[in-house]
Amino acid sequence: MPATENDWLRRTLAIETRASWISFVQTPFGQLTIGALALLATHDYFGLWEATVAVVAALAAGATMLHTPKLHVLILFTATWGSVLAGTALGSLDTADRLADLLQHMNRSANEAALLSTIGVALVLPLSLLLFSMVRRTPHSLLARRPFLSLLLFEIALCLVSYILQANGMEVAAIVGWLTVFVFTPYLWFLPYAVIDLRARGDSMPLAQLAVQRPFWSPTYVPFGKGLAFLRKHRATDAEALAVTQLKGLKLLLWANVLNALRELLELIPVPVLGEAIDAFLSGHPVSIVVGWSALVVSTARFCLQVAIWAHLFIGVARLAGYRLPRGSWRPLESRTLMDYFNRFHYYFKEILVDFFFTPTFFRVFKRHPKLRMFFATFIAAGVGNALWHFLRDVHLIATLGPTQAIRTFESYLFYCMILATGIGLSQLRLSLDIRPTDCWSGRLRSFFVVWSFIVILHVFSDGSRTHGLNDRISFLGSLFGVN
Amino acid sequence: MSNQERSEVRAFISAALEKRGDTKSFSDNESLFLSGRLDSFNMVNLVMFLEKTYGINFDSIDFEVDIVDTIEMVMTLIASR
Repeated sequence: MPATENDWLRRTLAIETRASWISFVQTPFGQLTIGALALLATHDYFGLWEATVAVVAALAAGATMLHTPKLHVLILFTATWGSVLAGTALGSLDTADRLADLLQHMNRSANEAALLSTIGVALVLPLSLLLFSMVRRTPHSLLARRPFLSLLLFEIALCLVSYILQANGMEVAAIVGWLTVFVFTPYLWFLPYAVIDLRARGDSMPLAQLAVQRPFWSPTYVPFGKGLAFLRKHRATDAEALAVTQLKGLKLLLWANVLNALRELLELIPVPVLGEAIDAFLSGHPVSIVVGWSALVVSTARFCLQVAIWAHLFIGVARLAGYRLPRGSWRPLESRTLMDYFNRFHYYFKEILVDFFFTPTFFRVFKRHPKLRMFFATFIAAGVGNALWHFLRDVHLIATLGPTQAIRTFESYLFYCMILATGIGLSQLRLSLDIRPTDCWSGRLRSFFVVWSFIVILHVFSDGSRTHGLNDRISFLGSLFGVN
Repeated sequence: MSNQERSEVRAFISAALEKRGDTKSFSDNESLFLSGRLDSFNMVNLVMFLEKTYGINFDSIDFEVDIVDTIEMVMTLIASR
């Protein structure tokens, strides 16, 4: 697209820069219009009641942010915990499913799974308060100084105890243990931010910290918006900034729908999904090389679109609540290097890897060897941290498959993490040696080709299914290059 | 703290911004990292520069990007070494 045409499109879409739109959004009718459009843009993804709660809560939080901060916190708290408890009870969040799988694995009735899970999630509230109180009373304890490490050790210990109980036939105790693991695991990635903030700011309200533990705009395992400290820095500070933020939020929600339409168009391309192409190869009736490559490229594109769509939906709703958060996925196709891709593709996931893995490693290891120090810290974040997050997300498989099989079925993703981390580490090293891609169009094209060839090829190993082992995937990839 | 140190830090930050194609001026109190003008890679380089040039030991500091987000904050960090 010519630059002038591109500029025209950008200017036309930049409604958040126009005084008339900014004024309109601040009126009751403007808020209603934003709410209605946001609901239309989100209900297909969140579900109708979840989207209604999210949009209404976000607009109420936005309306109270500037003048009644205590009410703002109360709204965030009620929406966050109301939606997580209702979502668990009604089965739209995964805790109850995981417990049901475990109960069925033990040949027990799964009827009570939703109720037990909801009670478990409710207990996170007093236990988090207890944790905050411990941090305040002992600010020099390991828990207060290294919250992620402490909570990770707690999670590992919980898993071990639960597995030992299960292996020794103490089923009821094992169920309680595993339920604790399933309930606690998502909070492992949120609570450290609260602890760090509480230690830095003694005046931080525990209620405000609780209000953003798996906040209502993104009840996932990735903290979109990080913790309260990050949100505090990104809150709108006046009525105009709030209106601009809400317009940007709405635009992001609508953009997610455009990307979804693109994703649905990709579904129309008559190629098998990657898993089917691998299955066909393994059954001795492989698809042609062209179809195989097409399946791989389309599968990668769909995965990338899916990550971007959800990131835009979550950040879009957070912006409706008045938080001027950076986008979760920002033009990954323009990545110039692998490091750049890592930064752009899934920003908030990268942030937890940087905060909980890169930074602690970088400040402690190989301090006299700058290049090794940089490479190693990057490798620990993009490799070890990435693998650990994904392994713990599926921690229930230890209970249902057993630890050996849970690790065996993870080998392909582990391989993916190690190769990705090596690539990103080397990319980081090249940058530190000032080796950068050139800025001309041919340089940009080369960057696009290099970065995305790497990502597409690596997608063979990161594709979600755990049914194909590492050797099967390596053989399939070889077949795409004509190696049998 | 000396003006020379301030000039050295400013020169380091200016060079990092220029490499990112950012030639706009910046004040001593302007956010560099939280505003997105510089990224985590630049932050790591700044930390290594501060360790090497001014002997700052980050072992004893709870590192948060806030403590190096502006020139003024960096100068405070250098002064407290």
